[in-house]
Amino acid sequence: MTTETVSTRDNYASSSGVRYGRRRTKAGSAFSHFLLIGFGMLMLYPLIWMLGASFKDSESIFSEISPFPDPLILDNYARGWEGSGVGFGTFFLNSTIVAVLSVVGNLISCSLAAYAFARMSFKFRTLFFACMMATLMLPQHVLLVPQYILFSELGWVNTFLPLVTPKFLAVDSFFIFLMVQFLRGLPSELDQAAKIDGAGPWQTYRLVILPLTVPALVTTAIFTFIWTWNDFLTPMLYLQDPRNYTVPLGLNAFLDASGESAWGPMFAMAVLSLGPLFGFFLAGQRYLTTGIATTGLKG
Amino acid sequence: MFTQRSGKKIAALATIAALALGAAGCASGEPEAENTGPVELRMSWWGGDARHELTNQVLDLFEEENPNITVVRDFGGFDGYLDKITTQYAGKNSPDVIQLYNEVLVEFAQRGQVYDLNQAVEAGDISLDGWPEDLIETNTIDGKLSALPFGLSTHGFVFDEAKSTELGVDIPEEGFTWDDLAEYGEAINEASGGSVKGVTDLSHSYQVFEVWAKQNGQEYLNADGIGFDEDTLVDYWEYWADMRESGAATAPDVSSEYLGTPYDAVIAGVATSTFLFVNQYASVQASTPNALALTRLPSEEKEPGQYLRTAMNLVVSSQSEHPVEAAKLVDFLLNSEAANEILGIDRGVPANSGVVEAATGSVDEINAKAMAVIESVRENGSSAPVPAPVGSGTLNTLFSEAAQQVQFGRATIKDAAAQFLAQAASELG
Amino acid sequence: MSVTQNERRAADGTDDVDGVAADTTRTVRGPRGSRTAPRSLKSSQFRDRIAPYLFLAPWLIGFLVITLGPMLYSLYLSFTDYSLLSEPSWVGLDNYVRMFTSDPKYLESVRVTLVYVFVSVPLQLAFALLLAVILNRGLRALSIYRSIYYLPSLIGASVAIAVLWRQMFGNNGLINQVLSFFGIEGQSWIGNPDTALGTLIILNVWTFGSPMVIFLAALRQIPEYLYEAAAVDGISRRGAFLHITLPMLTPIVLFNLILQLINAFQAFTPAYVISGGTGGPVNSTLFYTLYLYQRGFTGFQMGYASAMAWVLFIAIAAVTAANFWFAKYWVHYDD
Repeated sequence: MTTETVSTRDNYASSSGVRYGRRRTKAGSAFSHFLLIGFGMLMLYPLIWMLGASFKDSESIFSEISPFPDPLILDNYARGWEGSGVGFGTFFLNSTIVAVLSVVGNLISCSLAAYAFARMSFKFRTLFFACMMATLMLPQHVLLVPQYILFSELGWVNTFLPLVTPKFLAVDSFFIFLMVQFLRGLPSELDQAAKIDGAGPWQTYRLVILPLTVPALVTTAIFTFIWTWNDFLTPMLYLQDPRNYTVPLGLNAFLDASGESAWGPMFAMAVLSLGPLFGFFLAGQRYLTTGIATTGLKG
Repeated sequence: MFTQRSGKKIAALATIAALALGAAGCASGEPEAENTGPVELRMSWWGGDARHELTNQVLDLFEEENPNITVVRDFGGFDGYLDKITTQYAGKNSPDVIQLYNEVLVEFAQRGQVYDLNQAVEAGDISLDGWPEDLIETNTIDGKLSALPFGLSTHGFVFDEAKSTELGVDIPEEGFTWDDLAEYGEAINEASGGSVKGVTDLSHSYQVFEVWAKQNGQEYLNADGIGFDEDTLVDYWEYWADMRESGAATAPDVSSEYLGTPYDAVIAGVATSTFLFVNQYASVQASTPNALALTRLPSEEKEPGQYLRTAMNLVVSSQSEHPVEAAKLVDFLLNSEAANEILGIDRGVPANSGVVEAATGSVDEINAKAMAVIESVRENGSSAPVPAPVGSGTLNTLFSEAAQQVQFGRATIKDAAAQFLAQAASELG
Repeated sequence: MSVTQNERRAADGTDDVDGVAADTTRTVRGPRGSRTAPRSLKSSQFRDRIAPYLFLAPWLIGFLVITLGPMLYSLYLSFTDYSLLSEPSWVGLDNYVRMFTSDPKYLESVRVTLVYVFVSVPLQLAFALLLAVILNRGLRALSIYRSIYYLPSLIGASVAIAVLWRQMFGNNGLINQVLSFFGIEGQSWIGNPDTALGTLIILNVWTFGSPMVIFLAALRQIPEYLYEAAAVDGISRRGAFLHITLPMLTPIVLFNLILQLINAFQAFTPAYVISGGTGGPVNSTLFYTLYLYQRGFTGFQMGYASAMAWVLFIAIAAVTAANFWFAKYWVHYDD
């Protein structure tokens, strides 16, 4: 009986991520690896091409089809780093500042709001929830001008404030909704247990709920970082002095369809720009593997 | 972070102080209340990083020569540039000096958003010596000088010499006609067994059509709207339909792929010739190891058709708080020899013939070819058209769409032309 | 410290006191707010009443100041003719009427968007869910695969994508090279109006990394004890998947469904960069928001664009509301 239980358990999706390979044949797993890698290569081809292009000289980028550079040059990286006189070092720094602040802002404000929507009841809950969802449904372009006028009146143009302050005010409904859904997946017994222990809403939130939503928080952090980093439209509107530019603006400054575009340096810097993004994702990934062990609850 | 606001505050305080001192010290006041305190201007332009470097250098030079003026530089790529400028206008926050382009100039000018540079000319801040009359006319809208050209260019045709030789076909000679082009195209198609076409399909290009219309004594757009007959358009599209059929021009799906940048088709080796503006020649040549020849557009024995075209303009915003200083900057950029020596021909040839030499002094072999075409058109070219009317942007898109309908066989040429004219009337009317 | 029954009722507004009654110590019984209630009861009641609003304070401020104002202003603009360069002038319902009666391009953009939404979203979610489930099985090198599949989503929507997509689907692109290897002659997939939208759908599916990561996070959050209990009951792997994994995932499936739909309705950048802002060829990639942008910025008709935006808003709101309403039939919540 025991052995049967153990072996059937082997085949369940396990939140600890340990590989249960006992029942899989070697050929079977090799085949799935082959498929996964093959599919992966197909997914990655455009990026491989971009990497190759960053090492090609301007003559070959678009005239040669193969993604492999010949000759291989490093000039694009050097020239790209100069970044139109301001320097990509500055652009990377600016992007990092904006992205990190945005992550902090979203984590705090969105989880607070999500907790209220998911775990508390109050008179206007449905109305506010609908309003929160509604903000997702209006195309950004028509809000651009009125918001610009607003921030212009406040004197915030050419600073990072219009980019970062909204994050501290839970403007990204995407993450509020995400966390609400995650929170609703947690049993309500948890809250009640906390209340019995005398915890108020703040303590319940901080000590009980928050640690259990680490996957949602990590997801929020990763996505906020990446989307803020890659955001082009809002920084383009609000940042006037190139010394304040973020990376996408720096990349765009290489391209001029009406005249000369510096594709090589642009691809080089685009490749570099993937570095922090990928790094952040890898770092955060580890926390995505943390499952919750709530085995103590049923006692 | 560098903010404009602190700059403005300092400027304001300093101005008050300066005026107070001036009032106290002077016996008789000056007729003009000119700012002697520090002034901060903001200039906006688009371009690639080569242009950014050159322009920044020139602006540094300007600041040296005018110690009381600082210029905040706002530069970036072309993408989103117009959105940014328009939004800034809506937020009453537009730059003082703005690089703009023909297609949208009228939208700004007719809504009173640009400063009348005639005022600066009369005050002596901007000099128009050495400027061709017709270019000044083109930029005069509703009697106001709304902009000045920031570089001249003209239409051109590139031929892939290397590939043509490889296929054993001769490139048409100077002064070639549309028929010559058709012959060339067919020869390329045959020699390559259909894998390479002679020219990209240009039926969607309103810019080429503009020249075609002029060659037939008409205009694409004039001050009232459409300036050509339906027959002219039908002829144009029929020419290209024949080209497609004979295999001289690229197939519709390939043409669509390279719609905005047809020279990419030549770079990729899909076609061996196409249309571009001569100031793009250098960067196109740099993108391929094949030698490219540069010529004028095909023409007939009639009107030359092509003209010296404003590549881009400089305007001063009507929201600017320092129009006098802004005008000075414009004058410096356009008329100063030192400035044009640095700027070179990155934006095209200077309009002011007096500084052309300074700008073209150190031109390399490749750019010299572009220069040659420009000079040839300066001597023998048509006059520039009047400014495009409001709403012409939409029109240009409609033109391209109608042409594509024809290309993909979704409409007959006559129907598409008639439909385009009807839509144009409703957009402009 | 223990909590009275009255306090608990005040906190969550319900009378639900299941499961833990045994631990409750009752100190005072009596009507709420009676003068026999201890001070701690009153203050914690007050605290629990006001707590939601404190938690929501940042969101409220953000909503009222940054979002609501501009939203209402854009609603006002939808009834005007506004070029951005001059003051708005009132035109009443003109914009709305024009959209539906004399703007064939508008109707075309609606058609294109609907096709895009209802083809690419299910495909993308299916891939995301499939890969998430496969990768969650405890495969070795899980994190490498996860990274590979997420990498495309990192590149963001930039001009670089246009170039890369042309390198894949263009006349000289990879797909055609592979096809010619098999002797099939390809065409320019992005240049042909019949297939151009298809390449954009593929682009949306290519970036399935984001919903996949969310699914993975959700899979991770399914409590271990459920599987343990199932094992004890002798349920098969398939059964566990159908009866534990899927139901527990449904809140996140709903989330991804709603959000990806909203996203797809508002898709802009892929079409913008790949068609060069034209929505071509022949309007085959003219997404709704791309046309909106054309009208608003390139065409200097922001009033008309605002009207388009509000029509879209209503459409999206309707679809989302429908989703929420149907959710009660298939989504399983634990609270």
